[in-house]
Amino acid sequence: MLSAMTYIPLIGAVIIAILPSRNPNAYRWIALLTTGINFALSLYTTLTFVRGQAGYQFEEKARWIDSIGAGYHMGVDGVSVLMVQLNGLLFLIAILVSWYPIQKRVREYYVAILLLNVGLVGVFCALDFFLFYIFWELVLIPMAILIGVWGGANRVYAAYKFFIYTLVGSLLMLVAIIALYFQAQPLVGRFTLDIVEITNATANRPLDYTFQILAFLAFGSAFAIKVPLWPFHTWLPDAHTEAPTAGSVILAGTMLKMGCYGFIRFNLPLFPDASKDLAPLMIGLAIIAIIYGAMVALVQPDMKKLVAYSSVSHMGFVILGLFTFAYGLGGQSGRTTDRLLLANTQAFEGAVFVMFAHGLLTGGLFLGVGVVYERLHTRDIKTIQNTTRVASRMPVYSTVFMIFAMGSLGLPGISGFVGEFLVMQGAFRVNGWLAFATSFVIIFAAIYLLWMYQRVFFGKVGDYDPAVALSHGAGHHDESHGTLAADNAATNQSGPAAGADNTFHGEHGKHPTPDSEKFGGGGAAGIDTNRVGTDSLPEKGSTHAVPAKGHDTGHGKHHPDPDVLANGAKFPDLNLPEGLALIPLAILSILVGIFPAWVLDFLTTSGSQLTITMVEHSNTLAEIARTVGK
Amino acid sequence: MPEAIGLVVLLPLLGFLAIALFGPRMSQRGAAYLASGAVGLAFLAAVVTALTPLISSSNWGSYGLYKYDWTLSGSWKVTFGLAADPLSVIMALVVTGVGFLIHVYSIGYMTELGEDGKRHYEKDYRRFFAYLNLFVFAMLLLITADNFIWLLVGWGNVGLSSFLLIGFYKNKPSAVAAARKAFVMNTIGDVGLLLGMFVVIANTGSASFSQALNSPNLGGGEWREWAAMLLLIAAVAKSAQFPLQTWLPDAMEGPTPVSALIHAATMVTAGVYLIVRCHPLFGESTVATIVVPIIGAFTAFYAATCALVQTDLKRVLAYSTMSQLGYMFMAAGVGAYEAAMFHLVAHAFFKALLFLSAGSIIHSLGGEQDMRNMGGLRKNPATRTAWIGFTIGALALSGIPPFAGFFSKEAILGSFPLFGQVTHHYNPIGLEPMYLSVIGWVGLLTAFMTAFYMFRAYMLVFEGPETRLHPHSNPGSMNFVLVVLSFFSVVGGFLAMPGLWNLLHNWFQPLLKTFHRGDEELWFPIQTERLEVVELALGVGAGVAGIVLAVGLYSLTRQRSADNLQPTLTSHTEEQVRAEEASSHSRQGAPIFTPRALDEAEIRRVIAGRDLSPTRPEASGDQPRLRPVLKKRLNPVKLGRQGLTGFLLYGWGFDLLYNLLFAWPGNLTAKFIARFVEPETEKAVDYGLGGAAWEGSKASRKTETGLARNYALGILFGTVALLIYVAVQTVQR
Repeated sequence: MLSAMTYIPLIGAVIIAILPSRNPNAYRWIALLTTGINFALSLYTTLTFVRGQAGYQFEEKARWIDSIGAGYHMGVDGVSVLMVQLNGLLFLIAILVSWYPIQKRVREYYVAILLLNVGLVGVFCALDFFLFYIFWELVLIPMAILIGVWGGANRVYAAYKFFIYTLVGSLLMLVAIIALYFQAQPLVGRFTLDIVEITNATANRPLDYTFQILAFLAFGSAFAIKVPLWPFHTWLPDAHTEAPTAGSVILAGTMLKMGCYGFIRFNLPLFPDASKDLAPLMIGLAIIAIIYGAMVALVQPDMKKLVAYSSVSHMGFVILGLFTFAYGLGGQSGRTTDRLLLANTQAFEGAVFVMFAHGLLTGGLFLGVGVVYERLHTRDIKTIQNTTRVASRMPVYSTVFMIFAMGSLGLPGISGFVGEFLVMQGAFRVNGWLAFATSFVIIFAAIYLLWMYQRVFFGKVGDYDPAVALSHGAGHHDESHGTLAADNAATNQSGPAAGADNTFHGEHGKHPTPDSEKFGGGGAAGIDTNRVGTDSLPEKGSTHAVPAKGHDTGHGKHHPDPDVLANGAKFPDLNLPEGLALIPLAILSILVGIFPAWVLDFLTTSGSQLTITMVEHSNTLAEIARTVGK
Repeated sequence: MPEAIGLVVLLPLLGFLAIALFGPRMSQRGAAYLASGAVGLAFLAAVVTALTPLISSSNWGSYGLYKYDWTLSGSWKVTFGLAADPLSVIMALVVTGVGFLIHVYSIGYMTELGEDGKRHYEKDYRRFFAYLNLFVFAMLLLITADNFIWLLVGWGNVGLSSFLLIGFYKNKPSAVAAARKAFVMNTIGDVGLLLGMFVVIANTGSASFSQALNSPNLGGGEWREWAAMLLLIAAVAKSAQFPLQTWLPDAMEGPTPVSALIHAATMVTAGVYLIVRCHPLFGESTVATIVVPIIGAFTAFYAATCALVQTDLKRVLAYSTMSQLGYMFMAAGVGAYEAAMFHLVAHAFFKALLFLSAGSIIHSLGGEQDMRNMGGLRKNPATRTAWIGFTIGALALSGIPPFAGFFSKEAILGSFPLFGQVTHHYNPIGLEPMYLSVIGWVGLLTAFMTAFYMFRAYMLVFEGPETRLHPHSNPGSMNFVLVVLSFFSVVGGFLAMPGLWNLLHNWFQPLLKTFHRGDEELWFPIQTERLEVVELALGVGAGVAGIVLAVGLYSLTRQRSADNLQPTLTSHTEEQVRAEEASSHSRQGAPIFTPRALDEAEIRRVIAGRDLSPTRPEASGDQPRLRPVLKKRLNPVKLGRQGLTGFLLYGWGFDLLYNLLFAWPGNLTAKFIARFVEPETEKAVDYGLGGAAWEGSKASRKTETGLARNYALGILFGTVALLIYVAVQTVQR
């Protein structure tokens, strides 16, 4: 099952690569089909996963390279099954949202994205160091290519930076894996790279303390770069800003989770003493990341950078949760009862929940930014503010984006809240001041997300500048009635905003000609001066057949309606693929927020299992557990 | 049937979802009826819940209904339930009752008179009702939650709906800014609630009110104080008390029904509700018992002074709301929970009445909110109902018998010993009587100012020379609502008649915890047995004096010279925004400044009888602007008055202060980090790693000399080192 899930995208990639057809739609459909199957398989895995059962499920074992002890071993536990599920969902969405925007090198694009899928599923399923490392590195290359080829203006720099940063981390990890390989040999009795075997073997004979510390640092730096933890985060804003929308979604949605997953899978169970003793360091870095990310996000002029920094802040919560969990195992809070701290799995569960919720919400936010960018070709908040009022033109989209923004700022009832709540509560049990420090971030998040939302969606009434409006959004005059149909289809499943704004919307659909006349002021100015992504071609999607009417009427007339771009470019609400991607994601974020048990049930066993592993694998912790009398 | 509480919460949610999902297929009126119907039915369900005989018996802890396990973590399950206890039911009655009336009112209010003489629905009419239902749902969730977590969910979501509704006119920059300000201020409160909750949960291991608050684990120590202080932050933010009060006046940018529902009758009372709900926690906390009444008294006084000089009708009412909430905090702080709840209920009626009357006037004047442009509306048949409603509301607010405000306000003032009598009744933790007495006098002074500013507003709006604006009549539904609310503002006080009966006391008895000091039982009933004539006379006297002063002052000064020193207010009225929107969608693209707007400026000049600076086209209405004071001769008295007026008009400059203290430094810090620290970090890490590699390679390059003798030397050293290592290892073994 897991292997099928892993290699189906590979098959898809090969088919796309050798397909004789030159029709880009063929690639799109194949990619969609592939990720669709992948998603279905991941859904099946999630649904058939036995939640209460300890250990790995869906295990697949085969002999592989006996000479070095590397085997083919796949399997999932509660944490990885969630990640695989999230991954399946986000890749499907990534293919959907790339439907129209990607017009350059379509074949290569889908090959790259499918290879990325192979790597990501593999990373979360592999239970052998050798296999894990292969998948880990496999992720790196397609992502760097995605950024470097289909990215924005500064894409090459961003791709290099991304590549070098993560490669440095991976190499450190490789060294640590090799060291661990030798260290574990006497414990296991033979040379092996099997993660489960090594973990089990360290149960009664913990690894040497110095080795634990060193290996923790080596593994940890690889994962910290991936998370990314302050101060290794600087590649992230660049990578996000330059990556295409789908790339950003995958990057934020699942790739960052590779780092967190690594901490959960390797650092905590293998090096429990080091985790416990280095926890203050990690907690400190996490707190810095949380506050620092939010502070920097406060003043970002670029929508994507803002979301990227908010990502830094949110991923800090994951690390905070994981290491308050590890720290709590020592039972050194002094305030609350030690018994509670020993089972401080809330912090752990909260951390994994944040990983999941962040995938949904930040994925959604990046998708949302992509939608605006497709229409205006800018992500600069001030420019958008002076150009148009998105809310009036795209009611469905505004509602969906509002859900993501509210979820991201931790509104109770949406999934973002549950994770942060659990992490903060876990942190509070360890030390009240930790929760206090992080609580400021909720206020900051409210400030920067609302600041962005209001500027982008409501614009500014007084300072409407037709000249600015003229120079933006020009590439979109080929919007046609084909998309309008899709448009309306999306409207029907919409939120409250849609309901109300629909009068305007319907009018838009019914009378295209007077409409375009009305909005048609200065349609001749078709040059998009502010275009950032110079290579992305104007859209020529299959449904974009009829050129818009009315662009040759009414030149140079100042139009007082700031809702409409002065050159008459229409501003369609979500088109079909975007709607299909965004609306279910939004609904899912709310549902998971209301019924967190759906996610948390997967984690309960993993949490207690991890606690037991950590306590068993450490001399000191076992001692504490005995004295407290668990 | 206490189970009906489930319907109370569910119906508004269904209404919201129905409009949200199927809104486009509904007619405008259909959506409005659906929304109103949902809340109306919820009200009926609340009445059914209230009728249950169970309510008056046994203890309230057992009222968790519709239990649902919200698994939060393997080690910790939160059992959610709806509480149908005296407190939640009375709040539910108020929220759904007043909410229903305001829904009905909005059906008419959210229309505008077109040029053809017909009523047109405002833009986003359906969305407005969807948001209103969302708000009612969130508010009901807040008050019926039987545990902290669900309370927080409701707490956050009323903030969200308040944000959506304040910013409803999304093309109006001041409204959008006000919405954000309100949300951010409320988020501070949310954080307080969150942290306070953590303290409670960490100490008691439970999030449920009945278990956590009565748990002995909370103890009397430091943690109780922490929990109370953190929860107080939440209460203060939601109820717009000092020091988080600045968002409420700005929130008046929302449509008037929203101001009436959210920012007068229901949401802002959530802070008082929280204190009463957590009274086992607050009542025994020393710091809270001292701090809460001080905050309440200060806010009551502060807001009353600000209301004295406001020129915007809605801002007067906003400050007045803040002031009345201050009264409730005063009462709740010293343990007079019944009095606080009494005032909460009565205030919900008469403040909603005042807001809706004001809304009627604003609506019939086409969006004008500046009181200086009103006047003489008493005689106009179009505003007759509004006049009656406003008068009743103003009398009730001023505490004139037999209106509702008289009873509730006296109940609060009666909880404070004005002349320092020492009775254990008032004194839960043994405070100095002097302290309580001072707070009581501040309350009395505030009552005087309350009466004054209400009748100042009354005189400016209804008396004096007639306005040049032409009021048009309002839909019957709006007038109907005013009549109903007027009725309740008159009879609402009869819930607790001093000396005769006290329905509220019986109602709350099962809920309220009895505190003990030693073996002495402390009890804070509304003063029913005791009619203290002197205090009563003082209370009524303060109100009457305020009214007499206001009426006298403003009827004597024909030219409104009392407001002579008012700054020019260039308010961006709702009507202007509507006009803008209308023009922006009309085919010709009419200019934003319609002839109507010019007309208003003209009217302004005529009314004031002197040359005011004309309405500046670019002026946005988020703040009233002060006219530059440039006179030939400096008149210190006049300057002082002007300064004081400005000081009060801007709410003592708290906005400026907070900007100076928090917003600007925060912004600068963020900018500093983003502009300097972030690039430096990037450089340090990037070039640190890269530089190390570079330097390392440079250093090691020097060894590559190409000379065989150097390499031979290296081999020699290496061999020697290896040999020594082996030797040492061997010796050690």
